[in-house]
Amino acid sequence: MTNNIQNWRQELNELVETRTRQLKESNDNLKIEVLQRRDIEKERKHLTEDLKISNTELEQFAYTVSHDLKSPLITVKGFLWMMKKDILNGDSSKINKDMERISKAVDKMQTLLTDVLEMSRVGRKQEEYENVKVVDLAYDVIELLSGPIAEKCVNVKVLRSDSGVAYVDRGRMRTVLQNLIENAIKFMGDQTESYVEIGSREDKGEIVYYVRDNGIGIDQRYQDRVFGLFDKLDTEAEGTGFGLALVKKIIETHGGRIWVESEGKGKGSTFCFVIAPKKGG
Amino acid sequence: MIERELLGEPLDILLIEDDPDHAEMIKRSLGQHNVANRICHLSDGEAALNYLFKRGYYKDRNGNAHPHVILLDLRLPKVDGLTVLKNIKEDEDLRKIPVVVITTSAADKDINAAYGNYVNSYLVKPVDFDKFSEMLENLGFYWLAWNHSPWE
Ligand SMILES: Nc1ncnc2c1ncn2[C@@H]1O[C@H](COP(=O)(O)OP(=O)(O)O)[C@@H](O)[C@H]1O
Ligand SMILES: [Mg+2]
Repeated sequence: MTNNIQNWRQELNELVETRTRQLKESNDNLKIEVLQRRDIEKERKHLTEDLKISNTELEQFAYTVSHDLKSPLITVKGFLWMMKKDILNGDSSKINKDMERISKAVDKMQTLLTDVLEMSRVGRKQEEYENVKVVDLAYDVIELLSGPIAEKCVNVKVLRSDSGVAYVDRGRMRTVLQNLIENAIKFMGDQTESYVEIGSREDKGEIVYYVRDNGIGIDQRYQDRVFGLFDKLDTEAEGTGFGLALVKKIIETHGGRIWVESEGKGKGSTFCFVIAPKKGG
Repeated sequence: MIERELLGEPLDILLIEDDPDHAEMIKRSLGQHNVANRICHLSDGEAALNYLFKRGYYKDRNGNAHPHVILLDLRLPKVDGLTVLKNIKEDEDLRKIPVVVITTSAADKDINAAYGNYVNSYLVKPVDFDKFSEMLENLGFYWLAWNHSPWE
C-alpha cells in the first residue's frame, strides 16, 4: 500500500515535471514568436511610413511640375494673342521683343522638361555603387568648371583626407559636387577675394562632406526652401532652381541627408551632406 | 473709375508676381482697360510683406499708405503667396485691401487655403488669353469698390 502510494507519487511528480518542461518550451517558443511578430510589425510600419513619404513626395512633384510647366505655355499663348492684336492695330513697336519672350519661354519649357526627366531617372536607373573618395571627385568638377572659375577669379581649394571613402555611384556623386560648386561660384556676389573649399570632416562618428563659399549666403528662414524643386530665392538669377532638388534626391537615394549652414545674407554658405555607410563602406 | 481719373487720383495696384512675362501680360491687360493707373510690381513674397508692413528695405517708404488692390501670385520665391495672404488678412488695417489671387494652380488645396484665408477673388491663369483679359476686366468690380475705399 505504502509502496503503491509512493509509486504513484513518483509517477505524478514525473508527469508534472514533464508537463512543466513542455509548458516552458512552448512558452519560450511563444516568446520568440511574439518577438518575431513584433519585428515584422515594425518592418511593416516602417514600409508603410516609407510609402507614405514617397507618396507625398510624388504628389508634391506632380503639383510643382504641372504648375511650373504651365507657366511658359501661358506666356507663349498670351504674347501670341497680344502680338495678333498689335498687328491688327498696325502697331509693330513691340513685335520683336514679344517674339523674343515667346522664344525664351519655349526654351524654358524645354529645359524644364529635360530637368523633370532627369529627376525621374534618379534612383530608377541601375546605379553602380563602388567605394569612392568623394572629395577627390572635386578635381574632375574643377576641370569642367575651369572657365567660370577663371572668369570670376575664384580661389578653389580641395582639402583631401584619407577617411572620406563612401560607397556611392561615382557619376551621381560627381553631379552633386558639380551642382554645389557651380552654385558656390554663381552666388558669389561682389566678393573680391572669393573662395570655395571642398573637404570632409568627422562629426559624431559620421563623415560630413562640405562645399563652403564666402558668397552671398542664405537667410536662415529660407534654408529649407532652396532644396525645393524649381525653387529659387532670386528671380533674376540664371537657372531654373532645379540643381539642389536633384542633389537632394541623389543624396537621399544614397541613404544620406543634406543641409546648408549659413549665418545669413552676405555671410557665405556651407552645403553639407552625409552618406549612409552601406556595405563596403 | 472715370470719375477718379477726372479727379486726378491714381489707382494704386500692388502686383506680386515672380514671372516677369506674366507680370508684363497683366500690366498690358490692365492698361488696355484703362484701369492701371499705377502698378507697383514686386517679385517675391518677402519684398511684398516688407512693402506692405513697411519693414526692412521699405522701412521708410513714403507715398500712398496702402495700395487699393493687391494682385497676388501663389508660387513665389522666399515667402509663398498663401503666407503673404495670411499675413495681410491677419492685420487689422491691411485686411481691408481686396486681394485677388492670380495663379497657375487650380488645385483644390490652394483654392480652399486661399478662401480659408479670406481671399477676395481667385483667378486661375488660363492658357486662353481672351479669357484672361476678360477676367481682368471683370476685376472692374474692385475698381468700383475702390470708390468707397475705407481710407477715404
Ligand atoms: N552657394 C550658394 N550661395 C547662396 N545661395 C545659393 C547657393 N546655392 C544655392 N543658392 C540659392 O538656392 C537657389 C536654388 O539653387 P539651385 O537649386 O541650384 O537652382 P539654380 O542654381 O538653378 O538657381 C538658388 O537660386 C539660390 O538662390
Ligand atoms: Mg544651381
